[in-house]
Amino acid sequence: MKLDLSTKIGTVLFKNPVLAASGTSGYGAILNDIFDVSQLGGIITKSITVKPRKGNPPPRIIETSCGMLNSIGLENRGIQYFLDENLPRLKTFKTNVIASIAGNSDEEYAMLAETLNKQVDAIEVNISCPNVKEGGMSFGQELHSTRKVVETVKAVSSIPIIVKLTPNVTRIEDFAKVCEESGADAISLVNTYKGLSIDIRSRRSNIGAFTGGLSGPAIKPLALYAVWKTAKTVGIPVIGCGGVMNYVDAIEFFMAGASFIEIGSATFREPDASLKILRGIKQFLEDENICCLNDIKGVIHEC
Amino acid sequence: MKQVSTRMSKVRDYRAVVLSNRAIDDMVFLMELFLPDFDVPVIPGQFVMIQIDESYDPFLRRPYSIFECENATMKILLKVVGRGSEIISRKTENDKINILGPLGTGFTDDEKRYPVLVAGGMGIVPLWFLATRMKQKGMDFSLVFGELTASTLGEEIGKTFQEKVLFVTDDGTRGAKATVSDALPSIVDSISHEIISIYSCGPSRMMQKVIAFGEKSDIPVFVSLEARMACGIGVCLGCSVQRKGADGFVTVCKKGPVFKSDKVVF
Repeated sequence: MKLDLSTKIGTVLFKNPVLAASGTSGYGAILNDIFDVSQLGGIITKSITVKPRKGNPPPRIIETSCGMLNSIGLENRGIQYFLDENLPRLKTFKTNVIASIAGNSDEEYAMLAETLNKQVDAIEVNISCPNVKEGGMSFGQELHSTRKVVETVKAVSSIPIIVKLTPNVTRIEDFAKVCEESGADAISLVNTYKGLSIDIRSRRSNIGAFTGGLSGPAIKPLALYAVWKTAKTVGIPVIGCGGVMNYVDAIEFFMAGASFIEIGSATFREPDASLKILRGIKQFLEDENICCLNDIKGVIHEC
Repeated sequence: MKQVSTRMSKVRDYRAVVLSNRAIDDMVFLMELFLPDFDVPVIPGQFVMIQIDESYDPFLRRPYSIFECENATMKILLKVVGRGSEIISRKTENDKINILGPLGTGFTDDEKRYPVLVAGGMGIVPLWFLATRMKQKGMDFSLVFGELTASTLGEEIGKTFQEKVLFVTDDGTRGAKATVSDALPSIVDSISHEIISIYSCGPSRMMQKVIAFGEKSDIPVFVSLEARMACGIGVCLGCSVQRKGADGFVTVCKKGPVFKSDKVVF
């Protein structure tokens, strides 16, 4: 039996469903010094903005029980630097490149998507960053804003559009549905949960920007629930993300209905976590005599 | 000492074996590790990310400056400051531990300048390593070591580097009764060399005063910074500090932890 891990978003083929999550893998080059990133299904870049962003004041991270809060604030050098300095190296890796974009307005999202169209294999529209004052998560917390930004991006793109959703809403599946109706080719969820950590001596937040986004194994059951709920609601592929630490977590996400997974904070603990998870998935499928991901996708029994 | 580019050193996650781990002072432990297959050059000032254990709580690795490294044997000096370091401090002989490294930049040396190493408390770690290398090369240098009160660690420093060490303690139990920053001007005055460089690591406030002294006296200062880190390799951007004279941040893990003092504000 030949194991087939390949899967598609729109017309783009991914050799396997393991993606390096945005903001946890830079632009691939640093991780590639430690392991062969070409073995992954895809690399999602740190979010790219129109102009360079210096990011938020330190401290930017604080460890919490089984996870961490971060508030980096979309630090990046802007689209031009990305095109000149990061993209050429990214293209040398034999894996799909997904550019994550973040804007302050529909126009900025459109400009980024148009500039990156056909330069990369797909775009992930970040409308879920909890750590910026303008834009970011606000686009993902109002259905009409989500619809507008997805329609705008879709109108200028001929490559697949993935929309990354925030879990900081009442019903995430409604946002997923709006994305699908607006032409999104896939959705990824969840981005981080907004959180707070206090230093009781100084009576201040442990994060320079006050609040941060919670990630890591602490949020996995929440993310898994959001993915399950969403996968039942939409027909487009769902990319599961949130606390995936090992192949068992990954398989859980597939059984909840995900077609792909993103590996985020696990990379901080182990730089090659995504590769180890990919190997674990393969081993599990072989051991269980399962030939393709479709055979386990959404198979959870619901009673 | 010539700078060795960190690009040359292949960063890997090593499965290390604890050879020994002993308390040398209250809450201060010296751990000796064996890293099979480790054969990359290590520069004083570089660090490793130690995985606490298999559990996800605590979640992140902890960054530790390298105390000594010779072939496949590495020494880490650690102080218990929280849950993570407390768990690491309990490792015993033959325990396995995951070590990612070597990471970051090390100290670069200007052979035209006489090196003055200025350490406060646990800030001795990268400077011990630097002093060890200088000693091996037969270089001359001075090491200023300040701490609250005379410790076994201080005694070890005295035994190892002897007449090169100048001690200060807050309570006067060893050397002059002073802080490092208060004592530094007269110490530098007493050094016969005219052209010097300062290499410093210690509490932020101490390093800030050392930098201020360096600026006033036209002495270049190199500092090794400490920061909370998630990845240690430059992908999370969590450990950033403010650039000096520019609007923006720079990562401690990748661009540092050793910086020339005119590059960063902390």
